Amino acid sequence: MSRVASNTVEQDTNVREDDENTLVAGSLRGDSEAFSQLVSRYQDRVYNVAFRICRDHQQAEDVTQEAFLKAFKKLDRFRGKSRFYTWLFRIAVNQALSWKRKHAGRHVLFLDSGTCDCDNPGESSPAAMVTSNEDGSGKSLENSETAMRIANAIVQLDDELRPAIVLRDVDDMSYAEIARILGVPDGTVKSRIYRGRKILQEKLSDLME
Amino acid sequence: MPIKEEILQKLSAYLDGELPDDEAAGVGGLIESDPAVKEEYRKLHTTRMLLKSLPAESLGNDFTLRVAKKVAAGWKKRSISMPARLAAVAAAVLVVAGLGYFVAHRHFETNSGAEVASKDSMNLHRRPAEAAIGKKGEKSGESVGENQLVMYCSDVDRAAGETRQLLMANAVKIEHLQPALKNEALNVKSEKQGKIAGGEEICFRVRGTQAQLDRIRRDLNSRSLADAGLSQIPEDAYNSLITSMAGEETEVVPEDKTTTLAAAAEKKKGTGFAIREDTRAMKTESAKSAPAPTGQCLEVRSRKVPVSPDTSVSRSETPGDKYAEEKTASMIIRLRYRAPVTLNASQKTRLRKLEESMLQEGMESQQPITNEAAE
Repeated sequence: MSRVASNTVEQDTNVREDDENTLVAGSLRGDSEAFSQLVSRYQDRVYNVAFRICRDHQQAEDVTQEAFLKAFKKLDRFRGKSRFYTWLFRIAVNQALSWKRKHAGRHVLFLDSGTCDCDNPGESSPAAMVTSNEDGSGKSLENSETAMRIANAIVQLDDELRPAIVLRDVDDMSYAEIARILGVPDGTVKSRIYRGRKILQEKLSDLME
Repeated sequence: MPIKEEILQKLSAYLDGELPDDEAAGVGGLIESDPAVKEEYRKLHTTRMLLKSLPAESLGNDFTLRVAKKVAAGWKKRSISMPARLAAVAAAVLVVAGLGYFVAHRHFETNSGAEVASKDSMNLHRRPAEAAIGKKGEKSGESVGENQLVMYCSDVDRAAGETRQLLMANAVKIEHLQPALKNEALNVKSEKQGKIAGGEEICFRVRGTQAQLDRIRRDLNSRSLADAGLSQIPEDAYNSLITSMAGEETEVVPEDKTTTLAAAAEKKKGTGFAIREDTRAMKTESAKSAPAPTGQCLEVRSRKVPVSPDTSVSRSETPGDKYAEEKTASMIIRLRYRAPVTLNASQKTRLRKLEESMLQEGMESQQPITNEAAE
């Protein structure tokens, strides 16, 4: 049974990859509808990864858009050796990191509203947290607070560890995919993910109970 | 006893299902048998769960449409053929060069305007040297020879620099700006404190295909039409018009640099940097018995100036000239000083119309106007 399920997933992946290749080929021929389908397929994933790296909604959206436009512009250089999305994510991660380096320490949007100094996340205003919750209940505030703490812990990881953690734990990518995106060996990915998790574990230790 | 780093890394990879089967079996056994390893595994697992609990956000269809729109616009650009792209690039270069020329000239005219505005006199004043130049018999279009173009400007130095840029943009050979000669020219300018004033001119002799020269002529024509500060209206016509405006609210600014320039010219005589009386206003001109101008020509070429009115056919000035066998033509562009005049809008329009009509006349005739024709 399990072998059947595994085969089904594999077939599904192959179909999806074929489909992706068709869309890429269509985009290269100038079929903007094909490229729109690629955008639609990956925009949320790219956006969420960018947001976890930048911690700025607007910037994450800009990074996502730029990544797609850049990918489109350089599509004829895409060799097809890897999946299109790994290539796309590589562009997006580089863009996001570049922005983050440029704006290190700046105030960024904190969840849906309010602002927070990334370097002093604990100083964000409680009012901002409340307004960021739809129902205003204590539980939501607690959840929101937890989410903010996690998000801030991620954003405080250094540039080397953060993308690996985000790609693995936010986007669920495999080590091999992450290695291709970051351009490092699989072993380095393994090490970075472990180191990142250890730092986060310490920062979020009170949430572990 | 602390758990080895290597084991911890494997725990993390085990959690992600990234260990080979044999290693995974070993780590699985260790978790089961060692409570400390089990606790570490639990913490790593909880950390991962916390990260995965972060809410994912969606960008929506608006974003897709926005990107699709930009991509469609980008595709149009990409689909332009390579020759067209090259042509577009070349055109862009020309436009930028032309724009730079225009902007730079606007700037210098603005400066001239500021100088004019600082003068108190509101009376028309013609400088004697210019009056003399005005008798040279130049005719409409200012083409005193088939391949000559005379432009009047209030800052000859600057106009020369800008003209040079224009010529370079058109990739013609500029014969008088060989480095050594250029240095000499700069020295002269320096002695004159950067000013070339009434009665003097800077000459460019350029070689290129007839198409290139036509383009340059067109550029300069349109330039002079666009800005009264760079004009092709010959002295006779210009002076008549200015005189007719005498009672109006205009101002001709007196220029006191003439003597300075004359002195500089004298000093330069015999140095190989030819500054001489403008007898090179072509043989056609001397045939008219026009009086010699009081101003002098700042000749920045070491070579002999062609004296034939028909210089439209390419000729080599020296036997070994690499251009000898090419179907090129030459043209002389003369930049002459004319004192700036402050004009009101109506007067500017009159000047512009005069220039337009002269240029139009030149175009309609399809023949460059020579002095013989003028007679």
